[in-house]
Amino acid sequence: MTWQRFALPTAALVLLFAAWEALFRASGFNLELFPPPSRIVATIFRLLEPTEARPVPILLIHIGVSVGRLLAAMLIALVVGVGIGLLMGMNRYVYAAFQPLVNALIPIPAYAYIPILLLWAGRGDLSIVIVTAISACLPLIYNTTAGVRGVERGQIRALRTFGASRIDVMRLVLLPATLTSIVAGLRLAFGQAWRTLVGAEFIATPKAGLGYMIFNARNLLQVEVMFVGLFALGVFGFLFIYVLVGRLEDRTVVRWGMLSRQ
Amino acid sequence: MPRSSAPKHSDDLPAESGKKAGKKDTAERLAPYVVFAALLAAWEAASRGGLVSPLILPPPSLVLETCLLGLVGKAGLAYHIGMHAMHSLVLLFAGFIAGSVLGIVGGIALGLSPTLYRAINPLLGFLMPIPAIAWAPVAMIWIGLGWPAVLAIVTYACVAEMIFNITAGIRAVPQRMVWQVQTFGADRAFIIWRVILPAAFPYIFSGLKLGLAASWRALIGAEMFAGVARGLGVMLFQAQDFYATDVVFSALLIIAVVSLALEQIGFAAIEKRTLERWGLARTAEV
Repeated sequence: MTWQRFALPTAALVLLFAAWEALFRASGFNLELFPPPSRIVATIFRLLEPTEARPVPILLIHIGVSVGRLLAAMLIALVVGVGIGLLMGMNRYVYAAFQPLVNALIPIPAYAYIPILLLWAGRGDLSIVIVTAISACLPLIYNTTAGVRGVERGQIRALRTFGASRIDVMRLVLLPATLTSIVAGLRLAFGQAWRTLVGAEFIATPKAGLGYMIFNARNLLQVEVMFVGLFALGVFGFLFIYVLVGRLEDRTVVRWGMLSRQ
Repeated sequence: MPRSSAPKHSDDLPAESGKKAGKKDTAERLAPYVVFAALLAAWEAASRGGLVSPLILPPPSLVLETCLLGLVGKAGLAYHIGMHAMHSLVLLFAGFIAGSVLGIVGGIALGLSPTLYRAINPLLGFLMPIPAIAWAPVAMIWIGLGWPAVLAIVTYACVAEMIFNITAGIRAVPQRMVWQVQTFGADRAFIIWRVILPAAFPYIFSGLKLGLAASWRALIGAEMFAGVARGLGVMLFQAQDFYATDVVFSALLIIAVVSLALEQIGFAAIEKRTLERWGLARTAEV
């Protein structure tokens, strides 16, 4: 029954929040440090309220800054990642030369690049966007390369025989055929970027962003603000990683019949 | 919504231009070494020749020297890479083991009970996109600064990454396998231990792999600001503060080596002994 599909998770959620609320209130802990859900919800509304000094609510500013950085980084990663991936997939010498390097870079935690970027570019948007772009780039390179190398060579030869240029081949065969794996890479890339962005914002931001909001709340011992930040990270992470990429899938590879939804 | 990981071995990709896989010409075989050597040489030359300041980009030879000295503790106590690496690895494996146990138990429970799955899955789906490291400030207040908070984050990162894979694996076991043994009178314990878990093993295995990677990522991130005294992340970050760029790069080198080792060596042997022997995964053709 359909109502059960919603009733069960809702009941679980209500139970969880009730237990959390009751436990924290009964514990006698400092509620500033151990906030029950009611305080967190109140904080969400407080942070969404415009004030005299700040006509745009503070929470929206932090969200806007983080989302802006994420999109900037993803744009760079998409261009660079797909570009390098196409090069590596189309030329076996480039592939042979750089594939070991890419494989070696993939497992390195992107957080480890933050100190180097701090040395090179200092604290600020530039460092954050670059490190986020690096982390998002690698799955895109990997998946694009794999996608291109998976294309049937006969298709390319057939097109070339009929006089298509390399650009035509790229546009008419490689990109559509590779799109399934690029979109899959995009999902991984968004996940990576989101993680890296938060870490970078903890360390390298001078004044705004969700990561900054959470980290700064630690200095002020405002745990409820941290939870608001975590909540926003969940919502927007979900929007980007699942909703946006899912839409993209529906519009392209699902519509073209290359991927089916169960 | 399990997060699929891209296939990690390019060997099973179709071969290019009709060539057989593994048959590379000389240029292809040499290309990675030539490119690597050229990159290193250019970097060394740029740094030594004064094109870029060694404070920005230290020459690779210096990085390697610092790295080797640091590994045996000759680069000063603060930059004793060997010691920092040991501390990191201890935290990593403690968190990974705790996280795997929790992840496997939780994943099995969620996979076996449809009610539990329906109740909790949406909540997990919401928690998934929140990066594990984002919880670090909360852990730092609730648990306190220092290694216990980092351990908690490493453990959580592992659980969060594993639980989806294992749940998905158990739910993917074909129902007719269960029906089959039920026909022969198998009880619940037999079904779980002898049918479902072995059938879900490849998922559990890949969950462990992903969990270890997630733990490692979270560890390096959390170490940088969670107030632990020792660890690769701490060293990396402190060296940056003191503009000891060669130390930053040597820490990065060690992190890269450990990352590769965790991915390549750790699980390859187990994979050979189990998945490949049982015929659950193809042996990669070289």
